[in-house]
Amino acid sequence: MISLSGLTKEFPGGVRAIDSLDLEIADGEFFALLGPSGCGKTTLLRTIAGLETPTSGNIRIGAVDVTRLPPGRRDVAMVFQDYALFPHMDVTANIAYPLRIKKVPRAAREAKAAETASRLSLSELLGRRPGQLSGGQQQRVALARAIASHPTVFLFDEPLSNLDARLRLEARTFLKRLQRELAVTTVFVTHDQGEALALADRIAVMSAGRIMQVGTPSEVFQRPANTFVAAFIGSTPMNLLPGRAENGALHVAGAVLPLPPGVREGPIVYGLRPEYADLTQSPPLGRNDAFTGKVAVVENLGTAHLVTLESPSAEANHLLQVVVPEGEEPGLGTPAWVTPRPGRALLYRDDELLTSA
Amino acid sequence: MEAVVEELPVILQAFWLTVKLTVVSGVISLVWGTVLAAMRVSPLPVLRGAGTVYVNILRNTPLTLIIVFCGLGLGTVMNVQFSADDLSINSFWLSTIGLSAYTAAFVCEVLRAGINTVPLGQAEAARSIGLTFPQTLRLIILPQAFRAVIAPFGSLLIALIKNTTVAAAIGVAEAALRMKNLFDAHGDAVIPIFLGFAAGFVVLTLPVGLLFGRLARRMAVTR
Repeated sequence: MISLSGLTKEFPGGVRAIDSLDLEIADGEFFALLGPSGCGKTTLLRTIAGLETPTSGNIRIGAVDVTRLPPGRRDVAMVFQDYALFPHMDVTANIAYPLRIKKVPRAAREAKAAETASRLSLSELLGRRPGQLSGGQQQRVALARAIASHPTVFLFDEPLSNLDARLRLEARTFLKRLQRELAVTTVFVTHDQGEALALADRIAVMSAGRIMQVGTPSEVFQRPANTFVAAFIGSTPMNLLPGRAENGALHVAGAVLPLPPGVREGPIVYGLRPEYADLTQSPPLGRNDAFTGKVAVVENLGTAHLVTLESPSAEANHLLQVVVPEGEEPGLGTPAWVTPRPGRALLYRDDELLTSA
Repeated sequence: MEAVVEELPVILQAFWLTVKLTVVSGVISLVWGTVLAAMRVSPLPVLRGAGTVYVNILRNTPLTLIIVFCGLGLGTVMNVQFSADDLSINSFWLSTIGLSAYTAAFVCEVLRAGINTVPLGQAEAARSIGLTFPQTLRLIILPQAFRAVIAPFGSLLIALIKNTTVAAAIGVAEAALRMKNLFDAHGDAVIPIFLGFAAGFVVLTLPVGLLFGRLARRMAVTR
């Protein structure tokens, strides 16, 4: 288990990259640190690795307080974003290098390197230099170097970002399977919410050095704890519309929606994922809980279309986005109605999740 | 031309001394320059400061001054002696000290440029594996840095070969001093003697440039 308590990292100049952060990561967990650039996720990973010294707070790995230990004595293995393979050594030497530093005899470490290489299908490449390998192969060598040293924790810094788009998907599946097989606690950093959702057992969403929410991918996706997480997670950004709870109803962007029980009157933010609403080109019969507007933009997503509606609402000109199945996209400038699916919308007040609606 | 042929043994002897000066001070300045470079990238401010001061003084002082200081200051005033009876051994080693001290400052700066070509991630990867700073430098950084600066090292070596002529100032009987002596002995053959010595230097320097250029391409680090 990795546990961080009150961890703070302040850089000279007063920038707080990590702000009194508490976090526990269970044994064998595949854990994602997710956030926009500058949120402190990489600094946090580097602090766990020992490449940065925290200003205050503690890091424990298992029963050991590693806060003041140098990187080499923490029993962690880091895979760098650009892999940082040693270009003047061949693949075998690269994989076996951590073992050489640990004074493992030559025969044993070469056997270990060969075994790890064959697991990652690198056996053919053992004699090559990193410069002679493709990006995907370099990444596997970097993984092999981490695996061969048998650490208690893997730390991956943006493991997929240096691969081209097609290879990235393949590598993602490979990485998930590898982590399952090895069952070693793994922390990885990513700015790509899709990558975090796909790979991780749990995700910590970070912003400005703080953790905004920790949860499983479905928790974070379905019930974002605040509007930051709501806006950050999801391949199409969630609609976040200002509204009011008044006279037992929700008034949002010109629509009048049923008010879920227990919500006090007052201003709210109404969150609706574009995927969780249905678009019709005539007013839904016998209902008044639909948003209406004019089709302003239609974006092709391949198997679906992302439609942006301009609502003629009196206060501010709100935009509402909806995902529409292939073949059902409306024409530009035509009127359309959007009905939220029951229970799929989220209500926020003071930037905290109240309930679903 | 006859003068050159006649004095060939003297000329060859002179160039042999040039080669000896070059090789000995080349090796010493390579070692000392590497130590200086290590000091200048070390995490200890005292070492960094000392390295910087050394490089800035030696690099900005004319070589002639340094050699004369070694000959007169070290040799005559401070009485640093390498041989009790053989003056030529003394002047050889005193000028070697001067040449090495001077060239090491340039080796240090070239090597530091080489160190800057090695991505920061290399040092971090080494550190996270458990290497100490000296180990990181010796096993990961310097091997890559050296490969990056082979060609500039060739230029330094060429400069060193030619700089050995300054040792004539304190009476080392290398090529430049011998040439001057031969001018005195053969006043009618100044141009041929001059051309002979110039050719001698070309024979030494040209292959160095070619060799280092080829080595640089062969040893280059591909990332």
